[in-house]
Amino acid sequence: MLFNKKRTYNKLVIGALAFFITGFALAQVSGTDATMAADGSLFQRALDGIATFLSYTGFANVTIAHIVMIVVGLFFIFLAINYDYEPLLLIPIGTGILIGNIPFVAGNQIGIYETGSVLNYLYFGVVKGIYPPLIFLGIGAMTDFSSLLSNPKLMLLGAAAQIGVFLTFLGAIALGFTLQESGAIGIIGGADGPTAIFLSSKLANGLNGSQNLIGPIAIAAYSYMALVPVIQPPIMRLLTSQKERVIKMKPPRAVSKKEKIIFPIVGLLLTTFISPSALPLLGMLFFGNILKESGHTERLAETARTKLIDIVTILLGVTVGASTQADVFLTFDSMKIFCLGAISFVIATMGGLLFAKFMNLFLKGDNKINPLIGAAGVSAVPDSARVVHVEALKYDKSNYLLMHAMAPNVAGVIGSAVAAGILLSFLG
Amino acid sequence: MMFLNANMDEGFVILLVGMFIVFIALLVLFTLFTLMPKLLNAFSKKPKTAVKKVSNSSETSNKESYVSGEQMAAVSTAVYLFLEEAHDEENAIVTINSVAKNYSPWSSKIYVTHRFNNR
Repeated sequence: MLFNKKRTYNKLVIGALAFFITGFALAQVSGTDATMAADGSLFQRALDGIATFLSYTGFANVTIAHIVMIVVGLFFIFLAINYDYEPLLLIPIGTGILIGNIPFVAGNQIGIYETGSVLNYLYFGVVKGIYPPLIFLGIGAMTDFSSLLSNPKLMLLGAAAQIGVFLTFLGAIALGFTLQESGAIGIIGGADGPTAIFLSSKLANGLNGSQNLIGPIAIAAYSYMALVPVIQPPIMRLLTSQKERVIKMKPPRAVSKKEKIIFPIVGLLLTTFISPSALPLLGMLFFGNILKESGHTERLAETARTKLIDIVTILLGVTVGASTQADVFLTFDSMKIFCLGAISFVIATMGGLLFAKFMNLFLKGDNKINPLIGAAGVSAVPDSARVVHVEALKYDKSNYLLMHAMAPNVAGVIGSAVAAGILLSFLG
Repeated sequence: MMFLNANMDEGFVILLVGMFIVFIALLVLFTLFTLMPKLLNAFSKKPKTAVKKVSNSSETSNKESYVSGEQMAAVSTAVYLFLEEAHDEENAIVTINSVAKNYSPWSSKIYVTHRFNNR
C-alpha cells in the first residue's frame, strides 16, 4: 500500500517536472518577442499564435530571482504545515509570495505594483495602512487585560522591551538607511506585524523619497514572530539563573468588571493623548476591547474577533506576500533588514528579561517576579507568553506562568504602538 | 560620513525621547491602575453594617483572605462537575405518540431480505 502511494507520488513529481521542463523549453525555443505575422498560411499563423502565447507564459519570463522567491514561498508553507509555525500568517504570506512571483509580461495590469490590477487594489489597504488598525480592532476584541490589571507593574516590562525598536533604529541608521527607513525597520523590534506594516506604509512606502520597504519589513516581522519559539529560549537561559527561573509568582487577584470596562477607556484617552500618532492603532485596539468588555455589544465583539480579523488577515497576508515581487524584494537592503530584524528580536527579549531582573532588586518576598516573563514584553501575542510558560515548566512542572506572562505581552502591544506613534511623529 | 553622523545624532535623540515617552505612557497607566481598586472602593457605596461585620468577625489579614491557586482550581472543578451533571428540568408528562414511518425504498425491509417461496 505504502509502496503504491510512493510510486504514485513519484509519478506525480516526474509528471510535474516534465510539464515545467517542456513548457520552459518550448517557450525558450519560440523566443519571448514572437509576433504574429499578418500574412502567411493558416498553419504558419497558428504556429505564430502558439509562439505568441508561449511568450506570455511564465516559462518564457522566468528568472532565477523568481525561482528563489517561489522556493521561499514554498518554504513558508512547509514551515506552517509541517511545524505549525504561525500557520494563520505563514500560509497566506507563503501563497502570496507564490502569487507575487509568477513571471508575467509587464503592462497588462496583472502585478501587484501595476496600477489598476486587482492585486494593486487589494494592496491599497497595506499601502494606506488600512488593514493594521482593523487587525488591532480584532486583537482588542479578543484580548483579556485582566492579567495586566491584576498586576499593573508588569506593564513596565512591555515598555522595557521596546528598547529593541529604538536600538534597531540606530543600527539601521548605522547601516546607511535614511531616518524614515530606519524608523520603519526599527519597529520590527516591536515584534508586531500590523504595527510594522502600519509604520512602514507611512515611513518607507517609496513615495516620500524613501525606498518601498513594506514587503521586506513585513516579511521579516512575521517570519521572526513565527520563530519566537526558536529565538527566545536560548536568550532566556543565557540571562537567567536556575534559581530565578523557578520563582513562583503570586496568583493574580480577581479583577472586577468595572476595572475591565474602565481600562480601555482610560487607556485610550491616556495613551493617545501622549502619542496621538498612534491613534489608528491604539484607538482601534481599545475600541475592540470596549466592545468586548461593555457586555452589551457581544455581537460586534464577536464579529471583530472572528470574521473581521480573519478577512483582514487573509487580505493582509496574501498582499504582503505578493508584494515580495522578486525584482523589488531580492536586494541587498532586504538582506540587511533581515539581519537587523533578527537582532531587534534578540535585543527586545534581552531588554525585557534584564528589566525584570532589575525590578526584582526592589521587590520582596511574594511580590518578586519570575524574570522569564520579561521575555514576553515583546508583543508577539500570545506566542512569547506561551514560550515563557513552556520554558518555566521545564524547570518546575508546577510553575504555570502563562497568565503572568500575558500581562507584559499585552503591555508590549500597547508599548510598540506607542513607540510607532513616537517614530511617526518624529519622522512622518 | 557627515550625513551619517547627523542622522546618528538625531537617532540618539529619538532613542532617548522615545524610550522616555513609552515608559511615561505605561508608567501613567501603571500608577492609575494600581490605585484603581482603591479608587473604586472609595466611590462604591457599601452598607455600613456589612463593613462592621467584616471588621468584627475576624481580624482579617491578607494571609487569611488569600486563596491559593490549587484551592481555586479545586473549587472551579467542583462547580464545573456539578454544572455538567445538573440536568435540565424536563417535562414530566409522558405521552405516547405514534411514530410516523416514512416509507423509503432505502429502508424498506422487503428489498433487504430474501424472498422465499412459502408454498
